[in-house]
Order: sequence, then C-alpha cells, then structure tokens
Amino acid sequence: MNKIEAATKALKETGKLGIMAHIVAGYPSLEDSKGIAETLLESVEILEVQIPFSDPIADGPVIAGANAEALEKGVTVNESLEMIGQLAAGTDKPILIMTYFNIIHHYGVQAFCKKAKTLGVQGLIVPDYPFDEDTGNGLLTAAKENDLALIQVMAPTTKPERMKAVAEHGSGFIYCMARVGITGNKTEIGEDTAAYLKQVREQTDLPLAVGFGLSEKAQLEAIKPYADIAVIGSALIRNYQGKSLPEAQDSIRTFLADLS
Amino acid sequence: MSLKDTIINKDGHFGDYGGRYVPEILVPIMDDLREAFFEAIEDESFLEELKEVNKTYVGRPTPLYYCENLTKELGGAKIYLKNEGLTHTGAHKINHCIGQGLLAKRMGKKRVIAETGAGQHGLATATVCAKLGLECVVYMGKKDYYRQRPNVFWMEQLGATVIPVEDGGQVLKDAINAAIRDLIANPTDTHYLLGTVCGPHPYPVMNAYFQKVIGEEVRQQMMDQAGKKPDMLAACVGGGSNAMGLYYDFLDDEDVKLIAVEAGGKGVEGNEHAARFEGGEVGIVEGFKSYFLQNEDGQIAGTHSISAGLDYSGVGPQHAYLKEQGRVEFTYAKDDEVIDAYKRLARTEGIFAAMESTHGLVEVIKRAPQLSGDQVIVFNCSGRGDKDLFIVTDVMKDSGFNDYLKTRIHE
Repeated sequence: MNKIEAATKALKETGKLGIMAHIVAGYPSLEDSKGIAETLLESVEILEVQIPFSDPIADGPVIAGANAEALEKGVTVNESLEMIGQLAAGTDKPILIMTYFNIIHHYGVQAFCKKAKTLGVQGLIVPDYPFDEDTGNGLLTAAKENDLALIQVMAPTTKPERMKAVAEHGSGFIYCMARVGITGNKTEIGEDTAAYLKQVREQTDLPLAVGFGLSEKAQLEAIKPYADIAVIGSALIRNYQGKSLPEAQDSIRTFLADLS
Repeated sequence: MSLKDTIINKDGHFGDYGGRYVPEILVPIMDDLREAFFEAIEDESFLEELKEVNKTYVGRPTPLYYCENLTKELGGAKIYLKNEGLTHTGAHKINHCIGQGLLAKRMGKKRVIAETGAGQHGLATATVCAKLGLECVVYMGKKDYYRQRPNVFWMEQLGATVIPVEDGGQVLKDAINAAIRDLIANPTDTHYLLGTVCGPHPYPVMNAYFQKVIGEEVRQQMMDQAGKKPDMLAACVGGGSNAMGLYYDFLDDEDVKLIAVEAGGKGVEGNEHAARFEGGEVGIVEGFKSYFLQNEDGQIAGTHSISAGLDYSGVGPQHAYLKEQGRVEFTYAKDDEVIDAYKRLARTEGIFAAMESTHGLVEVIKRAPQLSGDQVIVFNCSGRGDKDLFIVTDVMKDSGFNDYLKTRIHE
C-alpha cells in the first residue's frame, strides 16, 4: 500500500476529515518554506508543495503572489526538488508536488517523474494538464510507471459525461474544486456544493479532497459528510505571511488546532 | 489534409502545438465557446451580419496600395501595402474583436472582459462593446496602466472599466491572469475576448477565422490591380494574428512565399528581444503549446521590443506548426532597423506604419532589391503609426516634442 492509500484508509477508519496543506517552495524563502512544511507535517495528513511558476493561471492572487516572490528571490526547480526530497525523507506522510505543466515539460516528463519517485514523492498535481491533452506529452503513463498518483481535478462546472472520464483517469484521490472561482476567496458550503460532491462520489471510489477557498472550521464541518480531505492553501499563506519563521510556526499550529 | 484545414480545425491541435491546457474549471467554458463558434460560422445570418458590420463599421475592404515610390527607390519587386491601418480604431485587431463581439452577443453574454498590454487591444474591445451594447472590463498591469495613460483615457471614454492589476510584475501576463480569474468567477454571463491567435482552443482558430478576411481581400485586389497572385507576403508576428490573417487564404498556394518577422529588439544575442524562434523553446503556457522564451528552469522570460504589440514571450501555435512545416520563413528585425524603415515609408509614401507592422517592412526593404521587377511583395501594414507618438518622439529624442510636453505640464 502506498502512502496516499495508507493515509486515506486511516482517515476512513477513524472518520476524521484529513487536511492537505499547500505551500510554495521558496516562499517566503527556501529555508523558511522548509521550516513551515516541517511544522505542517506535525499535524496534517498530506503535504502539497508547489514548485513556483512564472505564469500560474490556476492560482488566486495570494498563491500567485507567493510564486512571484519565490521566483524573484531566485528559487530554482532543482532547489525546490531538493527541499521536497529532504521533507519526504523525514516523514511517513505523503508528499505531493504541485506545479504547472511547463515546469515538468521543460525538465522532461520522464526525467521529472523519475526524479520525483527517487525523492520519495507520492503524486503530482498539475492544474493545467487536463487528461485529454496527454497525447504527445505522456504524463499519465510516466506518472504511472513511477508510482506517482497524477491527481485529477473536478470542478462544479464539469459536465456529467466529462466527470466520468476525469474519474476514470484518477488515482490517489480526486481533487474537487469547491466553488466556481479561484483559490483564496471564501467558499460558501451550501446545497449546491453538497449535491456536486455527491455527484462526484457516484463516479469514483477514490477519496475526495475538497479545496479552494477553505479557511474556517465551519466550512470543514460542512464538507465532512461528503469528503475525505480538506485542502488548505491561500488561508494558510495568509496566516504566516510576513512573519518570522518561529512566529509563523506558532501561528500555523494555532491555525490548524482551531480547524480541528 | 490541406494546410488551411489544419490551421482552422475543430480539434484545436496543429501537429503537436495548440491544445487546451486549462484548469478543469475552464474546460466547459472553452468547450461551450468552441461549440458556439463553429455553430455560428455555419449560420448564414451570422456571416451576413459579420460582413455588414465589417463593411459599414470597420471599413472593409481596406485598400491594397501600390508603393510606387518605395518600389522605385529600392529597384526590384513591386511592393504593395495592405492598409489595415485604415480600419476603424486603426489596426487589424478590430477584425477579431468584432467577430468575437458578435459571437458573445449571439451566446447571450452581457459582459466582455479583455486583457491589454499597450492598450490597443483593450481599445478595440472597448470600441466593439460600445457599439454592441456590452459591458466592458479591461484588465491592465498597473505598470502598463500608468505608462499607457492615453489609451486608458480613451477606453474610459468608450464606457469601459479599466482595472489596474497589482499582482505579480503588474504587466501583461498579470492582466491575462486577472482576466482568467474573472472568467472563472463569472462563467455564465461573461465572454473573455482574447486578442490574438494564442491561448487555449478555440481562440487561435477563432481569431484566425475572423482575420482571414485580410488575405481574402488581398487575393481579389491583386487580381484586380495586377492580374496575378502575390509572390511573397510579409508581416510582423507578435502573437501572430495579423500575419495569420494575411497568410491564411494563401497557405495552400505553394508558389506564394510567406515571411514572418519577429521583434529582434536590441539584438537576439541578449535577453532584450521577443524573437521566440531565435531563443525560445517549446512550452505550455497560458493554455497552449507553442514556442516561448524561457529560462533554464522553464520560467517564462521577459521580453523587449520597441513595439508594445510584439513585446510578448509566446507565439501563436499555428505559427509554430507552419514554421515546423517549412511553410513560413521566420526572421527578425531590430529596433533601430524598424525606426529607419518607419521614417522611409513616411517620406516615400506618406504613411505612418505602426512600430509592430514596420517590422515586416524591414524585411521587405531587404528582399525587394533581390527580386525582379515582375515579382510582387505584399506587406501587411497591420496598424497605423500615429498611436506610437510617444515612443517615436522618445526614441528620436525630438527636442521640439519634449519642449511641448514640458510646456503642457507647466500650463
């Protein structure tokens, strides 16, 4: 059993809603992002580390800003990967790489997947790589060959027939966007969201991770009946933005404790 | 399959290039737009309306003008100039803005959003929205917003809301990202009017379709005026919309040579240029696969060009394909060559070409003397040059104009 399966199986058994935390490598600095990640790994179930990209079209202003700042400070793909490897070596929890396809394409699809495996990474989240662009790129195959889950994304606007196709390509878990919008604005968890998550659930036996705009305990409570994992991204960055590492670590511990 | 059928196709791939590399939330929006577009161009009433608006509002057909003085001076091939600068708003951009505007109305959209760098595309979009009664929001990087104040003023006069984007580097790509976020938040009532043959499918195909009228007119006008087809077509390529419009009708005429000119900036050896086929690599950015200027990590690199419209790190995917097929020959022109050619056209023919378009002219000036007098080159003067007043006076260090600006401030 791989680490994602182990983590989600444990969640099912305890009935707990897991947390996947998102950070940007190199933000606010390479060292601090590593320190923040280590703190997160004390309590979250899954860690998603973004390798920053110059043109992050799927990210909201907070995460896009973190990408820009990390790049301005000169963080490279190799440095990010090295840090991810160090994190993976120090934990039993699954670590995923989130990045845009150009970073992977430029590195070499095969080479990147191989490298990720070597580093002990469990999966990839590539928001601008819909499964139907796989021809000529081969990321689906390369990920599989290297035991990486290529996480598929659903949106509330995804049409039923496409939902089925997305689910068929899924592995690890399905990442469900909770709201028609971009990461970072507040999400209302209403009947629509519940109905949508139920619809996704019908299409797949994979665990469901719900993200985009989650920042409060009440939201997490509301999605708990339909989801296995809550993704915390922008809210987390807003929480430690502008703080020194020790302050950030304290702040994160409080923030996560308040969510559970 | 003919080249024409490859360049405008329903699937949106051109060999390995193009595609629709977008976040899942944008997939249904792009798919709906594609469906609506292909349905519209099968509908006679839509095509009639487009034709009518092109005639009465845009000012089509634009003239094909024989540059007799320039031809004589260079001594070689006959040079013809397709004067897209005479369209309403002064550049070919209006062609796809009108097309997409009509499509947006047909789809029942109430609101149009656009990104703009230098402000020209935003201006054309705001114009079309004013005419069609659509709400218009234009995103502009905060730096561009201040640099291009005259265009911000004009857009506002046309009723558009111009939003300065404070994220990232506060330039064009940040404006694009802001527009995408807006689209994601408002998928039902909003149309994103993307301004070149870039972006995810169906934008390259759709904009090529709305621009192809340029080449269709050239074919007819050449027959009427010279009784033959052109031997060579030349155009500048930023994203590539004006070049695609000129080439499309001739893609399968193998005897017509196609020349594309990128922005050589201060020279392609360094980083201050926008010649994607000189220093760029294949990448996937902003929803499509093509050539992009990137650093050793695959981060998108900055660019430089004297012309704001060519100052972009990516090139349209159809161009990448046509280059790979050997159908279009790519070269570049440097800033100083552009200024020389700009002055020359003004003095010989009384035409100010846009800095963008003048890149194409640089190559025409180089090639015409090597060709015989019975050969014809058509150059796309995609926009008129008066918009570049501040750039040109600055580069030429025109003391009179500088004094004028100072006086205006003191008054």
